[in-house]
This record gives sequence, C-alpha cells and structure tokens, in this order.
Amino acid sequence: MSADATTGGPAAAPPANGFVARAWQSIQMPLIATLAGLLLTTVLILSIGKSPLDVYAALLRGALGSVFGISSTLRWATPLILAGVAVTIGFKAGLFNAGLSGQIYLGGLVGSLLGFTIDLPAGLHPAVAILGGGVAGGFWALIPALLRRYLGASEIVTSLMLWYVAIGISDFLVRQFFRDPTSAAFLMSVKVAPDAVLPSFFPVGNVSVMLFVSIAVAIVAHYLMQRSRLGYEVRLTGANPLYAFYSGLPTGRRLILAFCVSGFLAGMIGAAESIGINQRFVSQFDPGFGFDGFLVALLAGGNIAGCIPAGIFLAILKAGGTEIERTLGVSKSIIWILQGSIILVVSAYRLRDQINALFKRRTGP
Amino acid sequence: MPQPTIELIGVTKRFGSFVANDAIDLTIQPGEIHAIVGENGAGKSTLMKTLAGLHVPEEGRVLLHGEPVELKNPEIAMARGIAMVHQHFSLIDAMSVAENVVLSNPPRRFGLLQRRKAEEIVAELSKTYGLAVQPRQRVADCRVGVQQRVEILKALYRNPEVLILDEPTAVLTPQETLALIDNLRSLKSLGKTVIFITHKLKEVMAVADRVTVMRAGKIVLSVDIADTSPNQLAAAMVGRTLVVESRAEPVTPGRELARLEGVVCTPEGGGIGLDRVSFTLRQGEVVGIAGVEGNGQSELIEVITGMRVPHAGRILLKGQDVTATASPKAMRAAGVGHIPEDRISTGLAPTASLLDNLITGAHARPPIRRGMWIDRAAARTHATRLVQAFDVRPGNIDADARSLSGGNMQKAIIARELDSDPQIIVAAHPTRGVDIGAAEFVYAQLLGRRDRAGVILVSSDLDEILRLSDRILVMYRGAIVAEAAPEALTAEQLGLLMAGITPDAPSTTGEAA
Repeated sequence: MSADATTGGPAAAPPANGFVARAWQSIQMPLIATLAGLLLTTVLILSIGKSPLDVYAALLRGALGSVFGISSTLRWATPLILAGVAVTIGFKAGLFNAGLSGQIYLGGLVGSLLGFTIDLPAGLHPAVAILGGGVAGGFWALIPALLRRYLGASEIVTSLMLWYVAIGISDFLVRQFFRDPTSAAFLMSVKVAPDAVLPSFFPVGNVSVMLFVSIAVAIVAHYLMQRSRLGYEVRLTGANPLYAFYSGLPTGRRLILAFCVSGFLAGMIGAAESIGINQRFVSQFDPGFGFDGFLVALLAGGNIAGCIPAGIFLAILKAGGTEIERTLGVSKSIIWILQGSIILVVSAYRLRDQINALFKRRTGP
Repeated sequence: MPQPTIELIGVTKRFGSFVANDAIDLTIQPGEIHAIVGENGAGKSTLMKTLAGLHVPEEGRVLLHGEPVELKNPEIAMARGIAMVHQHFSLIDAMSVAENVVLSNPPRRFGLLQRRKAEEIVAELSKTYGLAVQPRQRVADCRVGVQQRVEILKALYRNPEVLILDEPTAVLTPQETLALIDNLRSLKSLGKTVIFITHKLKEVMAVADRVTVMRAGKIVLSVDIADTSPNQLAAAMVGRTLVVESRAEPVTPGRELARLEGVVCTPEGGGIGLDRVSFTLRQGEVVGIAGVEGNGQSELIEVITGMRVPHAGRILLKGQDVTATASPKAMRAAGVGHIPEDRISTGLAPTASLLDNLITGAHARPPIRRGMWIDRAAARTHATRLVQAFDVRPGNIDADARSLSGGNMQKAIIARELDSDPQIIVAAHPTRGVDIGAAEFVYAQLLGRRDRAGVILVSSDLDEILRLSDRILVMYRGAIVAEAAPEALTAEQLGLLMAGITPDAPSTTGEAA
C-alpha cells in the first residue's frame, strides 16, 4: 500500500515504540508547521510579484552560503538554544517564565560588571563573568518563584513585571557609575577587560566557545531532567502538582529550583552577549531573546535537547533575513511572518491528533 | 416486535492494533433499561462512546429507529436524542451547579444568561428526578457524589430519548442509588430508554430489563433479566466461575498504629469539616468508615494522610505525636499508604508515563535511586513487576497514565501504594469503578496485609464495608456517630445510621456522643 510508505514502516506498530517511531513523533509537528509556514509566505511573496525561490535561496545563501553567513547563524544560535532550554525547563515544572528578558538583562549587567571591575586570568575571567551573570539571573527568578510558592502569585505576571525593574536598575547603575564617557547617544558601560572578552574562533563574526557551552547545557539539562531524581520530581510536579504533593514530594522546592535554573540560564545569555558580542553593557542589548526563547521551546515541543535544532533553525531565519532584504529588496519582515505562522501551527496541538488519526485510518487494515 | 430504538450491526472499533469492540451486534428496545456489564477494559465505555458520537467505528452500522445514521460527533448524537453521562466528570469547576447544567442551552435574555431562571430550572429538574443539588453552589465546592448528580442533571436537561450512564452508581450512596433506580424506572415509564454501565450485579438485577455482558471486546451474553442470575452474569463477565470468598477470619488486633484525639477541622471549601473525631487503628484490623458522601470522610482521610492540617486535636502515629509536623511526606515516612478518592486529580499524573507514575516514592530509595540518578533498568523492572502483579492492562509502561481505563488506573495506584509495604493503609473507595475480579483481588490484598498493617477503609459501598471491616465507624455531619461490629449491623441499619437516624439501642454506643 502506498499509504504505508508515507508514514514509514514502524508507524504501523503501536505508537511511540522503537526509536524511529518516537523520533518521527517528535519531529512530525515542527515539520508540518514549517511546511505550512513556507506555504503561507510563498503565497505572500507571489502576491508582491517576487519569486519565492529567489527569496528562499537568498535566505539559505545568507545563512549558510558563506563563512560569514555560517558564523552569523551560529552566533544567533548560541543565545537562542539557551533561551529555549530556559523556557522548556520552566514548562517541565509547569511554570511559565515570561520574565526571561529581565533575567537576561540583569545577567548582562552583572556579567559586564564582573568583566571590568575585577582582574582574572584570561581563561577564568569570562567563565566567572558568565557564571556571575547566571547567578544574577537565577536570583532575579527567585523572586517570582518565592512569590508563587508562598503567596500564590502568578509567576507569569510577577516575572514579566520584574523585567522592567531589571531594566531600570541596570540602566540606572550604568548611567550613574559605569557609563563610558565617550558614549554620547547610546547608554553603555565602559569596556570589559581584554581578558574577559570571549574570543571568536571564526575568521569573521562572533562565534565564541559559548556556542559549545549552549549545546552542552542543552544536552546536560536534557539528561538531568530525564534521568536524575531531581529531574523526575520536577517533571512530576509539572505534570500534576497535587499528585506530587500527595506523593510526599517537596513540590514547593522543586518549583523554585526549576524556575531559578531557568533564570540562571537566562542570566548566562545576558552575560555572554555582553562580554562576548558587545564587550560591554549596552542598554537595550537584548533583541528579544526572551520571546525567541518561547518560539524555540514551542518548536522543540517540550524536548530540552530539541532546543538545539530548533535554535539553529530560528538562527538560520534570523541570519538569512538580512540577505533577503539586502539583495532582493524584500523586507525581512517576511521572516517574522514565516516564524509567526510556524509557531501558530506548532501551537495548534490538536492538529497533530487529527493528522495522526488520518494516517492511522489510511494505514489501518 | 416493535421497531428497536437502537440497532448496532457489526460495529468494530480499533485503537491501533488493539480491537476494543469486535463486530458488536446489539439491539436496544424502546423504553427498556439495558445494563451493560463486563470487566475493566472489556470495551463497554468504548461501545457507549460510539453511540454518543465520541468514537467513529471502523466498521459496522448504527440504526436509530431503523434508520441508518452516522454519529460522527457528539452534537449529532445529541440532536438524535442520545445523551451520555461519563464516568469522569466534565464540569466547569469555577461555575455554579445551575450554570453547568444549562450550559448546552442556557436560558437567555438579550444574549445574557438569566441566572435566576437557570437556578429555577435546575431546582425543578433536581426535584423531578430526586437528585439533590444546590443550584447556586460552585461545582468546585461540591463533593464527588454531588458532582456526579450535576452530571446526570446536565444530561437530563437536554431531555434525551436515550440516556447512557457510564457507571452512574459508582460514587453514589446506597440511598442515592435507590433513588436513582427509582428515577430510572420513572424515566422508563415516560417511554425513555436507559443504558447503563455498571459493575454491580445487584443493581442490574434490581432495575434492568435486559443485560448485555461484554468480555474482551465481544458480547458474550445478552439476555432478559428474568432469564438470568447474578452467578451466571458473574461467570460470563470473568469467563470462569468466580469463587466469592466469605469474610476473612478476624485477626487479633495488635499494637496501636494510629490514633486521632478530638480532631477538629473547620468547614472550608464547601466541606463539612470534622467535629471532634477520635478513634484508634490497631494492627490487624480493618476499620470501615461508612457515611453518605460529604459527611467528613474526605477530611478525615486528608488529616491522616497529612494533606490537611487539623485546627485542633492530636494525631498520633505509632505513639508519636505528628500533629505539628503533618505533611504527606511525614505521614508517608511514618508508614502511611494512601489510595485516594480521586484518582485523576490526586492519585496519578495523567500526562506522565505509567512508568513514572509507578515509581513515585520508590524512586527515592535504592535500587531505583542510585545517588542522584534514577536507575532506568531498576525503574523498568519495578514498574513491570507491579503491572504484572496487579494485572494492569494494557501493561505498556511507556504509555501515558491517562490512556488507561478507570479500573486499571485504580489498579496501578493500589499497586504503587501497597508496594511500599505501608503499616497504615488508608483506602478511599478502593474498588470504585473496578470490576468484580479485580475487586476480589483488591480485597484479598487489603485483608492479606492485616498481619502487619491496619487498614482504614472509606467506602460508600455498604456491602464492601460490611464484608471487610472488623469495626465500623459511621460518620454524619463531620462526627463519628456510631461504632459497631459488622456482625451487629444489617445494611439497612447502617443506612439509617448514615442518614443520621440513631436507633435507641445500637449494639454499641456511639463513641463521639
């Protein structure tokens, strides 16, 4: 039967048994969403009288067609992967870290502070700065976590509000004490010590060792969540808090832990962006990693390791968008439309059931 | 012979490679009360969901009044006069009883809900069918038994021709069950057709005109009630002759395991609270807590298991005062095992795998705990062993817990809770929604633990209470109003006590008088 070929052999067996079937299950939705998004953008591009093939070719050329393109893609993938992991860890515990951007911002402040106030050897300095930024982000996440634990306040609202507080505190401190005297229009701090800069290992662009840190964090976090006792308890708390409580698990502590780890990773993003890319604290340096983190997490479908391909995918779109604008004169907003429609379809999880039902009926005896 | 209301011809429903309904032929006559019985996973609910438009069968035809129909979705089924009350509630917790009941077609003026009208309608409906509810109460504040009544009223509000009830009496008290049976009869006298799924053969014999027995997705027996007997039905259900054991020999009570002294909980969240409850549980005994649902049993369970902190009084476990440190964790550490009354919201994480659900608790001890890790091989061995020992079907430990039927969820919970070898077993409705064979197994498990544990059994099934208990406590309005040995009570006397009617001379005087 030709229908069998569509789903692949293993799909005929009971679902989610065997590696291939499971891999197919997890990749199915992002794949369908991407195709749907491409379809929509194709229609749009046609309607403005451009060739979709040209646009997609420019996109790929911009992101992967040159050393510069690849370096640009990897540069964006670095924070996107981490942001996706931070959001997904929250999801696993049943929490919604809407304040990722605040934790990123504060992490950026503390990371750069550590970069220009202390003196450390070259290898150690960036590590200390990034971990310091992580601690700052984790601390900033601790506040909504505690408010949720002891007062029942929604972590979505409190963490989001604390974003503005983080911007206020950081900009105020930099303006008052650390402002680069040569900077006029932009608010930025003095430069970090040369030892604290994360060097790029690419001939062009800004791809630092942080890329491997991001990927390693995703893999380690995935493993810990699936295999460790703490990870198990966090997952159970997220799946049904009342059941976890009834089972005698310390649900409050697990919620706080997960939220703080999420904030820690966000803080790392801010610190790495500051010392690695800008080499100082720059006001409004975050181009929206907090929101992008949710896109990555949704695309990864709650799978922590899945944030690696999902992050790289969104990085390709980000890096390629510029090329579309530069060579074809098509606004790179088209990329946002593509992103938006992909997320829309990914979020429509009931669609997945219907598609699965369709396949099941077609492959049924 | 009149035109049948419903005819199913060769209906087959598959889930993947699993055949839930295998070429089912079934005829439902107008105005009959038709009981569907069978073990957990026999395909009863699946078949009924097909009628209610929730499942579309792969093969076969459905005829309504001789006319072929395609019940593609619940709306179509409803429009055809088929309403179903599900085993698991689908109520909106934040809304009132009245709002829930009229949800499908609310009385409106200028597009706005006429709240008072809705409340009047529901009060009227409640009176007509004898299902007592308070229309203005929030559903979240209702006990499980009341929520069930709201579900039934919600279906009746649509004035259906055929009413399908999936285990309607599982959560009802004996009195409520009798009332419901009366209601079913009056529905029948109005020419309506009632189909109900149950495990309780007593109810089948009492009210049904016809009974269909299912086993492993097939119909094995479909007879008029006059032509059958409970024994024949039981044998058909399990496919073998069932040996119903008589009451187990009492064990001499040993050391004291748990003691409550004057425990008070103020009423909150619609509950009745606890009114100076005192009792003692000893090793080797089963203490049955009888009472109409919502008379403090839930609160009592929550206090003993650490889910709720009492406002006054003391809790002693094995002689230790644990009142100040009460929490589920502390109580479990002290040897309390808990089979909760609501398996979906408390007893399981439905979206987690069966494996993850079965190792909870055991995950914190070796061999599953290995340092900071969960030993996967040990976890799988553990889960597989529980699935086999307690016959949880289907036993795919990687599947989500929510994919199990109600009875199998219950088996999984009992397996997990008893595996830690608790000395104080708190069992709330342990056989609710569980088939006869499995119920016998659960009884044997609970009784078999008496040599090293004590059991607190809360149940609205009086036969269960009378059969298992060494001592029976009756709760009414948050207090223990009577204590008696099971031999000294009949089901009728117990029913009266539960209704708050204390006879002059019960065999033993009430402790909390």
